[in-house]
Amino acid sequence: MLKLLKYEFRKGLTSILVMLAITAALEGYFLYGLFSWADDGVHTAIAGMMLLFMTLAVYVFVLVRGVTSYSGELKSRSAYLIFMTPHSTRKIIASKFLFTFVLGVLFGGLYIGLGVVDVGLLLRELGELEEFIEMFREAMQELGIRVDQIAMAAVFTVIYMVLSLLSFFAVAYLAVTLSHTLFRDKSWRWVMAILFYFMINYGIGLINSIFPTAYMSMRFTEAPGVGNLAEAYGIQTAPTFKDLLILVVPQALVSLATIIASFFGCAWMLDKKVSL
Amino acid sequence: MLEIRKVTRKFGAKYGVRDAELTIEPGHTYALLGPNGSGKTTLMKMIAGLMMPTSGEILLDGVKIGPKTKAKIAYMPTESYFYNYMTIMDAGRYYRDFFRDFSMARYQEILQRMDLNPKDKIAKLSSGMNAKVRLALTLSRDAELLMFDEPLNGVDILTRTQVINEIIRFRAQGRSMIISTHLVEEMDEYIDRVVFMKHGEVALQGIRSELTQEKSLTELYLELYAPPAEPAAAVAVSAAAPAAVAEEVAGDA
Repeated sequence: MLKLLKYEFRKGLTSILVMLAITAALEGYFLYGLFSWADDGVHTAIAGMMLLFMTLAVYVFVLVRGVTSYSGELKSRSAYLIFMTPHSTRKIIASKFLFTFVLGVLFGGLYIGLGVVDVGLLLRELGELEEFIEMFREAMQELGIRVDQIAMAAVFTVIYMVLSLLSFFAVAYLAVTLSHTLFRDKSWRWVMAILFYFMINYGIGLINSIFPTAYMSMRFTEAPGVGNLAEAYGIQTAPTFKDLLILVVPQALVSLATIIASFFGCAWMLDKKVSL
Repeated sequence: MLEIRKVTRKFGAKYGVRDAELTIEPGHTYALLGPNGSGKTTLMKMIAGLMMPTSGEILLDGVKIGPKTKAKIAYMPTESYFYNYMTIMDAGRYYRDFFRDFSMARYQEILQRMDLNPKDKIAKLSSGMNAKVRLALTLSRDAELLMFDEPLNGVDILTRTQVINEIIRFRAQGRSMIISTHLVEEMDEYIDRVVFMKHGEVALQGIRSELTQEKSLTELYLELYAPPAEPAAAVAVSAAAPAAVAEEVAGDA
């Protein structure tokens, strides 16, 4: 498995280096703007916005790269390299899933790290870090939100988002494999892949609609005193642990089931119907 | 050793291979002969596990084609199949990483004999040089069964000799080989079993020495495949320019 991962990494190395180079350039631009404070911080603001945009772009890149690379591989002779090796299709597909997941986690870690450092530097440079933290703490107190609630919500949100992203990705793999299996020699099979992708996601959406949505399950915390201030202003506060369970668990399970079903579906099709 | 039982592979309504029955015995060199579209490559891909039969089964030492058999079968496809970034040495490292029977020392030895520079990028090599790399990789494995799909395809006369010499060198070690080719005359003396394929079916098979008691392999080939109305013309073309015939049928599906 590690060797399969190694070659997945090697195949994607150029595009990964390009993304890292763009990120490094933007970070350099941000730091230049911050420390020179040219044009009253306009450069810092532009670089900051671009870095934020880049965070989203990198995630789209990681997912799209994984799927397009797989799709391209199935129709090119280079697929022989992998499928000639004494590895089961399950291992081959698992290595692709895992690589995309690891890449997503690494890029996520990189951008979270950069975000923390950059915001810290910005506030420190402006000499307002402590004031900001104090202001934030007070605002949270006013809303009756405790730190553990925020942390809990953040953890649940991250789990849910990661599973959702992975399930989108897994469905894309399934759609590509399905279209390659059914329409191997047709030039329009990519259209079918897109169609399959939306059809499967529509089906998953129908299943998800059975479960409570964020809006339905959110309710005000029963924090006496300060918590009521939020209620008075009609602001929703952080959900309780029970809220989060009701909200996240069913949809996370659907995502997990989607990932598992897509994984075995891809492996089965490649195993029984593969035609390279 | 390798049993092919009633194997059929369909592409839509068309048959790539139809009801193929074949047994490959250990220690022999088989020639898989037939013109373009006769099903040679499809059959080889199924043996290599790159394509699944629509029906029937293929067994190597009693085991159905899958990850276990892939470890025992070395297949040289007729086309280049390397990643764009790969140098000749990278390809060797790849094989070393995935095949326990791969010998890096032997690979380097073959590269040296065939004047290949390990640092060269495969994507920039000519088709002949590329064929040499594919051959070197395949021969560097101690696999039970070695398969070469049109090893002389797109290869010039000088390189052709090198390729044939390398195959002969390893044939002498008593390993089983299947070589698909339409350059019948050039491989004639090195093979001991023959399988003719026509329209996806095994049209004729047997021991070369027995099959060629009355007719040469080329004559048998022409008898099987040349259009019945113009046998004389076909023989004339074959005798005058065998390479041209080879080019014509190159890229077998």
